[in-house]
Amino acid sequence: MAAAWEAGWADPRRLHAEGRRARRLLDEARAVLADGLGVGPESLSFTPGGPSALRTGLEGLVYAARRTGSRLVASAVEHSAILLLGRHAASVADDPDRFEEVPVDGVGRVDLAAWAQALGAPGTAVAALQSANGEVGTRQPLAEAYERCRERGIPLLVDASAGLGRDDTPEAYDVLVGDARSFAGPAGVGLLVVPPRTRWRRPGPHTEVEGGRMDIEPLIPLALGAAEAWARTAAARAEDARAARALVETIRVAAAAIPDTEVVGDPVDRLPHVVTCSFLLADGEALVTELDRRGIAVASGSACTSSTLEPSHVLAAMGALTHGNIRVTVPMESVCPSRTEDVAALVAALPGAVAAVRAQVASR
Amino acid sequence: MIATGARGIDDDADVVTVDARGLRCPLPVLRLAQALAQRPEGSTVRLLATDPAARTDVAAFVRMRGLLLLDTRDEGEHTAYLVRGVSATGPAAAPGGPPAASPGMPPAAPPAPRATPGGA
Repeated sequence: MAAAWEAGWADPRRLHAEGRRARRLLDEARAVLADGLGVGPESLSFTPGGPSALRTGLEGLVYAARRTGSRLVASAVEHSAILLLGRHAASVADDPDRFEEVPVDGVGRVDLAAWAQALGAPGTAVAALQSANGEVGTRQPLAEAYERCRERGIPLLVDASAGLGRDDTPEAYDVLVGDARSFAGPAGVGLLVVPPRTRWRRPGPHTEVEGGRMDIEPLIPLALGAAEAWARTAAARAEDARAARALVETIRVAAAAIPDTEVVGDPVDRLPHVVTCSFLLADGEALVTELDRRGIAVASGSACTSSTLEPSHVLAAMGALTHGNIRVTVPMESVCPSRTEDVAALVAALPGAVAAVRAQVASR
Repeated sequence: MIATGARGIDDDADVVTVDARGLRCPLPVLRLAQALAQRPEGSTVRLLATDPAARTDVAAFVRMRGLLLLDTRDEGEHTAYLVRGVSATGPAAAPGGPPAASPGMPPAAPPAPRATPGGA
């Protein structure tokens, strides 16, 4: 990253030598990532992050489809950037039909019959579906969901930000969104793919930035860092995913052996590197702290750990326990060479940590 | 707070009310679990909670423990959950469920004599 800052500081629109060099570096970064995603470089825009790419991607589809209608359809477990946009549009229009959140089953997979029905409602203009859920790992039935969209001529935005570079790159989409963080790239780099065949138009004045899709120039060092991360991890990707899948399986087995525990999400058709476990009558925040005390870093999806009182919308939509959760994201081996030992330490520490936290909770 | 009497579970006088209003997760579910543990099998507990997470968590708790969620009702500021502490997947409720530990047991547990626990 330091080298990237050194090389890419100049303004790529200028004609002086430093500017030309910066332009060339940005072009190279774009070429590496576009090639990795199987698209032309003109289809790929850099945004200031994954959520920003989701919002921009969706707004362009909605604007281009404004003569068809204004209704948006998304699964109930989408990224909050999608859900908040849809709810806001419905609220501003004072029309709840402007946005429909399609329910998911107990593992978090969208109900395809309900999906097809939602698409069939009059005025449906755009649909959005993740390739897999970043909280529980469950993959969505993208091919089928996309087919239902195609039958009705409704464009589909696919959010691959949870697993891009860790799982197979989606092929069935009209707009694709990713986040460089999923493949160990820097934070602050969103990837927005709009192929030439897609009807997409940015609302607002014309811009020359990022293929006319943005009004913010990308930070070249960050784009370089993302391309570097992709290139560095590409060769080992399949093997890394296989090993990560096995590590997650050991966590799933160890957690399931603890009484009153649910390991949520699809056990097989899932991202290789993500798992969430719910421990009944445990406190998620206390569990994160207890594991941290034992040198293990995990996240929690429990309402008690967030600033709002609302539980995780993903777990709630699945009907899963929303307290006592931990979410484990297994990093790539290239950025965390000790991950196998780390997972072994987690598996060893988990029963004791859960018992300790349950004892704390029971004494309240 | 705890009413007792040798009557059926549908009788209001037999339902324990647990007040978890103002408590945050996982305490409402903990209070519910504690109340159920103190009562004989087949007892019904009415949980009052204001935590929005309780709506999902009570349902998940009931599913994980094989209990019955008889009713969920908004009562103004709080929500009331009526939970019956008996297996929903027992031999009587679901013939295809897991085999019963004691096959000679009657299909539904009759109301047992009260244990009269102290106030929760």
